[in-house]
Amino acid sequence: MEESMRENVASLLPVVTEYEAPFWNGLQDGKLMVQECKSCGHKQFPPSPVCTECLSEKVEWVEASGKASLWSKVEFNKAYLKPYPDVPYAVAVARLEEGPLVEGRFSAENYKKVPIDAELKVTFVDTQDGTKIVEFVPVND
Amino acid sequence: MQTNESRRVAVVGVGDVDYGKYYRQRDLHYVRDPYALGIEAFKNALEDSGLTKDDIDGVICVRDIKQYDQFCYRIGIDKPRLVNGLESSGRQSGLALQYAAMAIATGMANTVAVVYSNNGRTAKYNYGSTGDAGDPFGILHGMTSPGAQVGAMFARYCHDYNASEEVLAKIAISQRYHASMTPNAVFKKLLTMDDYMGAKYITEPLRLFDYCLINDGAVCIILSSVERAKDLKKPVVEMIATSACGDMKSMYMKEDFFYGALQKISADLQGQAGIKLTDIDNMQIYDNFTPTVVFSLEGLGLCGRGEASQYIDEVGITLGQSVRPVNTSGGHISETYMQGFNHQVECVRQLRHECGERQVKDSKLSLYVCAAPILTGHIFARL
Repeated sequence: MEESMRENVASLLPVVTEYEAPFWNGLQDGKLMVQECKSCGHKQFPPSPVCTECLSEKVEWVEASGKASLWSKVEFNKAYLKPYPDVPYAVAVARLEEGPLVEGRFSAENYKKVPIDAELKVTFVDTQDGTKIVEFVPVND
Repeated sequence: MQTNESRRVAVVGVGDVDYGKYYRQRDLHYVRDPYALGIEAFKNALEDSGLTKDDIDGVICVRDIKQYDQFCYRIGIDKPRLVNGLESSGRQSGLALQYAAMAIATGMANTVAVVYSNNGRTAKYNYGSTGDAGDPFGILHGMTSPGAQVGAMFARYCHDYNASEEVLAKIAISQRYHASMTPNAVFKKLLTMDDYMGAKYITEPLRLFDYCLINDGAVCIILSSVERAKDLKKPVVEMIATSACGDMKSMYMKEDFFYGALQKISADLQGQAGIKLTDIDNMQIYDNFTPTVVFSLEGLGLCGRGEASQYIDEVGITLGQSVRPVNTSGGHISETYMQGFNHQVECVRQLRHECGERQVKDSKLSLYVCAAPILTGHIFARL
């Protein structure tokens, strides 16, 4: 597809609310942010205005360690989204060291060769319009 | 459930449309009217029940019947005592019957028509293109559609239990065989293992035949009391148990493959009905994607975790081979994608012994289950 005809990846961003903004800002700065409850220590993602365990409002954003493991993976052979017309592309479902499951890109090569439960690390890639997204890669790459 | 006959709930009418005929009409230059589809199913259900529209004092509209007032106006029901609309996800179908049953059991309404329509084919719905899995953090990364979410669950399942895509093929092939005996089904040509394995991946590990189809159609199911049902012309089909359970995560994907919620539903249904699942004669299992059938067989407790493939080989899911065949009309994969409504209709028709060559002999008990972010299940009995 002609680059000029592509819809921007940024069109997939949600309307950002006050409590979610630190995640999206962090992503564009190349940081994967999760929430930590200062009352009970629970770490969570996706975010909530309160701790999902104890309902405390003392939830703060912290940068994830970037260590993860591969929970599952899929490869899209049908183009569902206008900014992503080129298939196949793969998505990893990764378990962060902090606990939550997070989805991110996975290269076609890694999709084929990296087994479930393998150790991963977080990286960030620039998409065609400059919007950063998460990519998971094997820890030794 | 209640024991008083005026408060026990029965399905007294079912109506649908000729899905295959509508699917083959490829040259339409218009979007099929969702109200007209619903009205066709409603009239068929009324005729099936022997009731008139004046008997209907509750109307629940689902999916593409977006405006319940517009629908009721179009069928001339002016002052229903129960009326509302439910959104378009498939989990609503089991819930819609539960809401009708609750209204009847409490006396809020006597006879409720649940009306569903879907014009997804002519309206050219592109499922998955709008983030309909509801996860904004995934969609930015290209992760979309419940199909991809179920695919990811199945990939993990294969890892955990050393399973393969062959189990999905067995389900798709069996359901297509059932659809070949369902007069109004969309796809009736038999599938082979080569057909299944030769089809392209949509979102690997799921292939084309693991996906629900997209077609136009409508279903109406009319519920009333068992007392009223006994005065009507068809055999009485009672809802003897019903249960729901949310599975509330931020992703459609569930790390336990819906197991925990399915176990609760299974225990509820068996407890309310006073039967064991092994007493069931046929099962209609929600199959937006074939892995849901695998997860449901295990979550209900019909076999151990990771043993669905073995269950399919040993107990079976296919008419003529199994004591408890599954998705006897072909399900979403082959009959029609009426989001669980067609499954519930099949429960009723099997219990009335109206299913012709796909009839499960002497069916007395039929189970419906839907594994989705809100899980539902019912057991229906022929009285």
